[in-house]
Amino acid sequence: MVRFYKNRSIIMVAVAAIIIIVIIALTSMDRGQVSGLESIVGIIIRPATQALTRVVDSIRSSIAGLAEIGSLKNTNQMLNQQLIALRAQVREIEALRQENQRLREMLDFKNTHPEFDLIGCSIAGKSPDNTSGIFIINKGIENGVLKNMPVVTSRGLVGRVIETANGWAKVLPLNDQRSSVSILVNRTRDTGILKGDISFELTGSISPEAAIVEGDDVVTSGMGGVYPKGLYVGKITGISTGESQLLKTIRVEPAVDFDKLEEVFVLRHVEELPFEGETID
Amino acid sequence: MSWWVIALMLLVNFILQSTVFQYIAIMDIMPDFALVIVVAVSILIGNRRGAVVGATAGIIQDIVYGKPVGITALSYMLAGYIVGEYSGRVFKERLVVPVFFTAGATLLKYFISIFFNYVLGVPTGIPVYIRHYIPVELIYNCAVSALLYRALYLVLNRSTTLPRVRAKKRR
Repeated sequence: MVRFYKNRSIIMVAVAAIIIIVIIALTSMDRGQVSGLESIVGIIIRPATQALTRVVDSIRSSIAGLAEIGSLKNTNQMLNQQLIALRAQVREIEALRQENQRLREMLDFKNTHPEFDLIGCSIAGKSPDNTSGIFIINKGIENGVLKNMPVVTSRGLVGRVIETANGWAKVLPLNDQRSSVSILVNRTRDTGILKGDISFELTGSISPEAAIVEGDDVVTSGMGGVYPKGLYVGKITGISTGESQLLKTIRVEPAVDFDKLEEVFVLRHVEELPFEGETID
Repeated sequence: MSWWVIALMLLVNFILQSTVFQYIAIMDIMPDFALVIVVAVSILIGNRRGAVVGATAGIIQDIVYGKPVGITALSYMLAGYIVGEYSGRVFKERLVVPVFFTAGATLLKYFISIFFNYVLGVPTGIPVYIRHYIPVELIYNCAVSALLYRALYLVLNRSTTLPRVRAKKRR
């Protein structure tokens, strides 16, 4: 009896494992929309994570100097109460100023690029998995967010939507190891491929004849059909030629700070920019 | 009651881990609190329920953040089952037990993750995993496990009596 019981639990776990592997196989295929059940889970989870993210974001700016405070402990002993209060005030103003500037930039972006239909979103939560960069946003199908729509900030390209549901969507950032984008070096017009990697850095390969130098701006090339042409990605910070000499390897510093994303835009229409070579930055 | 305690703990942890805990990362790595909880729970409630708790915790994380869905569920479920399977042969009060199991579960999780990345054609930087992700998270998870186990033990041990009795009756 004991043996049967034990065998039965092994069989149950094995069956469950097979079911999960089937789910992995099914969901690893390209699908734009999550299933109804998944959507419900997201709807339950998202408001809580979003509210918390918002609280954390708002206090984070004001406690950004926390590490600094630790190292300046000795100095701080000399500071009086008034100075501390003033500092707190200054930080609060600074946080507000930064938010103001960010929102203003976004508004500018929207005004100066009427060719894009933008959906403003905020980040509702980030993947707890250390090796995944996926985050969720607070807009979904009902706001017109669909699979493969590019996600940008006023600084540049962030990534693309990979799955959507009612009220939320998953975004795969550029620097995730599963992400890749076809690029164009703005000055020399050389094309290449840029990929994210496990360390969340952007590395790419480009033709060995390309006369690129460090500091060149990199934009999307429009090939591949996901990202429209001319979205700003970042600057080249390193160039190396591999042993085979077949391709140059480049390292790109993204214009977007992926660790500090708060508000993003989803581009509703994936269309080529009106003027070839024009960049958005 | 106990199921509710476990479910609530995992849910609250999940919400915290995808928001607040993002900012306590050391060397860009967060401890996997969910795995620590699954291991602790499995030590106390055995293999079958450990597997159920692991699979549930994993599938929720997968649904919201996973691509594809299921890898975390599979690793947490197997971790819960294996830990539960061997928990009967150890002294559950000893602190070394959860730390050891947490280390094993962390390795299992990364093994499964790398395996599926490989199968699905995601370029895996295995040296980076070995150099960075695995050692840092291993140490971090074990430390969290050592710190939290006593508290989890007290909460769960008190609240797990109910289903245990029920399960026996069912048999």
